[in-house]
Amino acid sequence: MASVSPPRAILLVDDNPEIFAMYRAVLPAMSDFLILTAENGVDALEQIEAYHGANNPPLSCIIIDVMMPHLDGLHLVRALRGDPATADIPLVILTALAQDYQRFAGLASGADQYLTKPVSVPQLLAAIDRAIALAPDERLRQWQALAEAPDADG
Amino acid sequence: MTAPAPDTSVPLFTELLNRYEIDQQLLIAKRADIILAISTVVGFGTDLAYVFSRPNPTTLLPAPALFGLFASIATYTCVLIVAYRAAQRRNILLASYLTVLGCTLLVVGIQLVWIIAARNSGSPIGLDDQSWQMFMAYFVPIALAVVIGERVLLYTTVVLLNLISTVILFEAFLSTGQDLSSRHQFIGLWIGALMTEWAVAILTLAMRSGFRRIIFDATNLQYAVERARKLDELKDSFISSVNHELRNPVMALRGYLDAFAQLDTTLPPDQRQRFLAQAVQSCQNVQDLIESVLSVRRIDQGLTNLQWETVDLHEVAVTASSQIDPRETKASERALHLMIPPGLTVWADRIRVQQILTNLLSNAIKYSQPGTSIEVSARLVGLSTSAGRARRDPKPTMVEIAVQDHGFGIPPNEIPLLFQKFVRLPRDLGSTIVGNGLGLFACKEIAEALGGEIWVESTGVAGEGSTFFVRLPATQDDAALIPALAAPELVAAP
Repeated sequence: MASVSPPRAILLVDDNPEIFAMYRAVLPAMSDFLILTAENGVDALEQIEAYHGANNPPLSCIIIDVMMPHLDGLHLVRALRGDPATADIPLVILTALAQDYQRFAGLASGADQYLTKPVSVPQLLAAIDRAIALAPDERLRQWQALAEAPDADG
Repeated sequence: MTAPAPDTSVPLFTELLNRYEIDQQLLIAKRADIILAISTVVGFGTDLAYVFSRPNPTTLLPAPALFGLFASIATYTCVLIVAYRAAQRRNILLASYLTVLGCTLLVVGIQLVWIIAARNSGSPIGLDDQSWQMFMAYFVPIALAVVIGERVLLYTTVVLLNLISTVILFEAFLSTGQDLSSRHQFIGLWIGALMTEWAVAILTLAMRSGFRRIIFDATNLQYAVERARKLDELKDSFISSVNHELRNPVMALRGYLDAFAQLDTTLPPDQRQRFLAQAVQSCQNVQDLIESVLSVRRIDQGLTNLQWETVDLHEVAVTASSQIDPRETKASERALHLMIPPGLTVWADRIRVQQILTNLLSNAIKYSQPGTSIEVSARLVGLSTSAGRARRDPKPTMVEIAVQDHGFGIPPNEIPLLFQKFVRLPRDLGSTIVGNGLGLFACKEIAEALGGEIWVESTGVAGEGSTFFVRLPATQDDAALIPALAAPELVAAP
């Protein structure tokens, strides 16, 4: 995903301190995203509000764990989908819950992708890119960019 | 497809245990008594109402009595059918209650048969007047004896009332001129009355012992089956929780390795070091988890090879506290007061005692706020827990260790759960406190293998915390060495 827009930010929500530390240490070095992290659903909502409130462009993607205290991942997904300001943000669930019914519940809650831990960092980044590419307004924007630049495919 | 959330089995388990494990048998006994008493009163009341509802109680009118008998038998049959169907639907508790109820109705039915027989045949000898009085005279004390539940009282009542009924019948016989037909009636009635009394006595005794035992067996079986099923569910949820706990460190480890694979040469040295250290730590976490699961398996297989020796408690407590993982628990933020008199020793396995203390200390730290203090104390106590038992069955002197925290506390209704395998309190499942529900189970198994016991006292109020007590046998010499310490306890026991 080559991009010329200002640095895109992704938010990673996970209550596990190890995963949390790994995200903060590894992801900035391995991707060009601005990395934000939150410890639980409530923290995530606060961070999103603060980030959007500071006149930043909408978050590019949010990675969400399911089993978290205070507000779990599925409720967070529903809350984000229900708010017009965040409804279009691509959401990826990344969780240790690997059962079929859990996957179903995760996708039914409104997430775009459902990944099961452990995934490698490249896999995670690929999933983020895919979720961003499939997000409606992003897709529209890309089509428009293609239409407006007929020279590019020469 | 809808499936329950993974942690719902634990509240169910709580409910199950609260319902069944705490004095359940006592409860059943009380209920069976109440049913027995109520049905006796109802049956007796019906007979009494029948006698008094008639304009002239001495007039013979067998039809209502027959109707009552048939109604009694029909009800008895219906109740048994319902009990049978309930048993088929595996509602064994209800089935048992209905069986007792049915048998009580049978007893009442026999009473009615006796009354009708007396009324029908006893007319010429004027037995009618006495029949219901006799019925009341012996059935009420028997019912009382049954409800009170004293076997000796029951037999005494039966024998005494046999004598009384014989006297009454004999008096009736004498008053009618001793003709042949009334003599036959007298003998028949006398034998009938005697047999009915004994039938009632045996049936009621059977109800008290036999039927109740059936109820107990049935409920115990039902309980065991349900418990096994719940334990199976808990095991499943445990496996998925271990699964969950395993996936996180593996993913973190993988993340650092990915970073190395992709950015090897471009990583600054200090970052390399940090990533490596983190990767090693994640690896360690996986290892710890595997270790804890394996150690529980070992406990499951029995604590057989214990290394018995004299264990200095202060020393063990210091070692145990040093073993607590400071990374996870932030132990440094809590003041740990070790108040163990030097030289206090127990006769136990050093490693196992250390295991108990490490577990209790780490729990105390995990389930309390930073800044609160944790006290570990130990003292010599005289005899076993119960003073009454101690008099008859003196046990070796014990050492009582108390680990007190000022944390969240444990709701009293959840205390019985605490030492079960795989159990984590519902409160903790949604929290960030890591645990596999095995620590206290291990503590209990170890304490019991060492000839001791473990229990907890907590008000359930956050801030007041909880105190875990462990009692282990003291080294025998101690009792002789420090009689001053042991003596007050011995005196305190009445």
